[in-house]
Amino acid sequence: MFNLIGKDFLTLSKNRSELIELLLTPFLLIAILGFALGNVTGQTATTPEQTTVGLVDQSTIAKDEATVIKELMDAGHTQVDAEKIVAEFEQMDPVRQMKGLFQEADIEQHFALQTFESKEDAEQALEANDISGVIVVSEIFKSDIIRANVLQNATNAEIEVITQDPNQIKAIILTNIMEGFIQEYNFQATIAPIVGETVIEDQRHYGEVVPLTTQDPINSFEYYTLSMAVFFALGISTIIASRSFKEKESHVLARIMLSKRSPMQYLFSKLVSGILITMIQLGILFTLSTLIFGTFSERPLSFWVGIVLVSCLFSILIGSMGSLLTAISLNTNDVMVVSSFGSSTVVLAFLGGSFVPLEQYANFLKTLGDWTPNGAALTSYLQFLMGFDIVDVLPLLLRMLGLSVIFMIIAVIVFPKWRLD
Amino acid sequence: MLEMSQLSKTFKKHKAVDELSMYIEKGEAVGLLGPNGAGKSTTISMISTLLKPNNGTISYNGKDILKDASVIRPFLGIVPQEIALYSELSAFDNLRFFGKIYGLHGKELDQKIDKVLKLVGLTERKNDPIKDYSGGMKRRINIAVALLHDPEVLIMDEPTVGIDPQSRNYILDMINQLNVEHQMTLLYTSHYMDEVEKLCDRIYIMDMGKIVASGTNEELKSLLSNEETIEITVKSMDPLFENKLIKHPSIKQLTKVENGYKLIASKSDALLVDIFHLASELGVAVTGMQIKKPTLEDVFLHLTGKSLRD
Repeated sequence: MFNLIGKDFLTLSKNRSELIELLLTPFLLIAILGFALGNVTGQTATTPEQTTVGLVDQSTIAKDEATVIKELMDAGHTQVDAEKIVAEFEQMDPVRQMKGLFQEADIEQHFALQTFESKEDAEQALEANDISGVIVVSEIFKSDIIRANVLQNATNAEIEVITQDPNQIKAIILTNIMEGFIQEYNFQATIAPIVGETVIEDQRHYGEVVPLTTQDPINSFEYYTLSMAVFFALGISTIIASRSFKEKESHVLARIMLSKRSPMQYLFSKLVSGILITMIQLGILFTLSTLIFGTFSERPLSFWVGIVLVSCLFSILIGSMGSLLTAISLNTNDVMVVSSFGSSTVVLAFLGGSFVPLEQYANFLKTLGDWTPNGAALTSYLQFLMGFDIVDVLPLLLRMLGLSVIFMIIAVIVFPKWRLD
Repeated sequence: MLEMSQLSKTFKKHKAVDELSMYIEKGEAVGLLGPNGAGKSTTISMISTLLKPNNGTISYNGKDILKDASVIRPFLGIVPQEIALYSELSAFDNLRFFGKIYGLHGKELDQKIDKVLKLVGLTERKNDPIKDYSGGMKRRINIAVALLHDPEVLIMDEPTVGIDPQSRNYILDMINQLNVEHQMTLLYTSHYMDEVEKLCDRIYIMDMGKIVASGTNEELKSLLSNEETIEITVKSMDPLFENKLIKHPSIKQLTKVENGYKLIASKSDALLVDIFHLASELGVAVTGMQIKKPTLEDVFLHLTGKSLRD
């Protein structure tokens, strides 16, 4: 079988037009699209637009002041100390700090704060989709801060965050920011009595809006290196199948079958050739893109592990597609299926997001695209690029593996069994 | 050595081979003649174990090859009508690949490659890609590949189609040498009757999936021993003259040729007189007439009613 695979490589290496199709064309497109469409991808594509958040401030110690002072005195503080503590906490205005937080550049470009008089008004605005969330600072927030941090007899003070869909990206980000804010506020409240100061605002750190990943956003060279690589890898399956058909037509296949090779060995050689050629093609494109454009030069090892994993599975998928097309064309004695698939790769490329990211279109397009071989591979690559954990990428990896197995089973069933024995 | 009995193959409703029986002795050169669609290629595919017959048996040295293809495959060399080579690879690379899949390796493979390249006279051009070869050179390498593993039986399907006379003569001499000097058994199909006459000890004539005649060259010609071939050249063709000739009781077959007619007719002294008389009566100017012994082509025409190139 190694002879059959070696022959596939040898014939491919001598065929200039196929080498151009597999290597030069995608590389030129990476260069052109990378430079020309630099603004198609990038941070704006992966971070949400600015959204308005409602703020309802009900906090005051006034109503509860006498009770809190009494509780402090019961705990051993003198009346003077107790009044001083209450006054300090009164000055630690959470709403003022919160407003300051939302005026920070990183956060301001994503969230705008709108103050509401009552919780009901804010909830109405939320229902009307005028705002995407509501932050409610309760009446007893400040009293609870004192109880929690000075008397240590209550749970941490809480700020209520109301969103319509807690799973929405904006809601998740907002909740994270508020959790960070509350932790920091509690920390200040704890140390305030100790240091005798009101607030230490310049040391605060409530969180930040980052892209939906832990890594830098994807740039155009990264995107198009991956998208063109997966697109042009589809061509390998048609090359493999059309070569097989040519072998049959020229009776080379008959000669091979007359040797000690079985039809299944031949089919398996096509699978392995497809896998290896795809891996080499992807490897060359990624390496060239990195060496010349510095595309993936600063990516960590974990990214490369992910890239290798996706490349292996995608190569298996392309190999199995090549085998399936081979089996069908030899069974039907017609190369039409191969040429039809060759023509349809442009559609697959669009659906798979090889030309433009599909996030900007309807959701079903993206879902459909992720079921195409190239789309599944591209999304997997991008997820690793954005720092997703392997667990998050696993469904797509398994999908590629599953499709490969299905294609191979069909290929084995369909492949003609010439031999009599 | 190789024997086929009652072999039949049907594709959907079309019966490509119909109860065909033939045999080839060791070291014998056998020709298989037939017009296009006669079933020659189907027969070759079945002998090559690439196609399973619907009925019948094929045995090689007494062993059933339909039950076990390995009985014949290692001993079989196939030269298909198509150039079954990788055109982008050199002759050497092609030979090395096919040699390897036939289980040849190392020095043995190198020696075999040298040997077949010498035999086909292409040692000097062995590193050139096949696509740069002339038609004749491609045919020679096509044959060389089939000879790499020293087959006992060589099946050649139209191996000289579309090549120049010089290459054709080279190939015919080479095949003759393989058969005579190396005792290689040969099954040969061709459109060129002279090739079959020159190379083959026996000939099978096939039409509509059946063997319609078989025997040596002379035995086949003797089928027309009571006939003769008359070629008439006329100044201008005349349908009425043609019609009258066909109706003549001695004339068995009439074929239009350039500027005249070719007749296969029973030997008869009166026939020539009748022809001249008929021509005179219809005003047809006969400019030439030749009486020949029937050729194999005539036998073929007589048996199938078709020219070999139809």
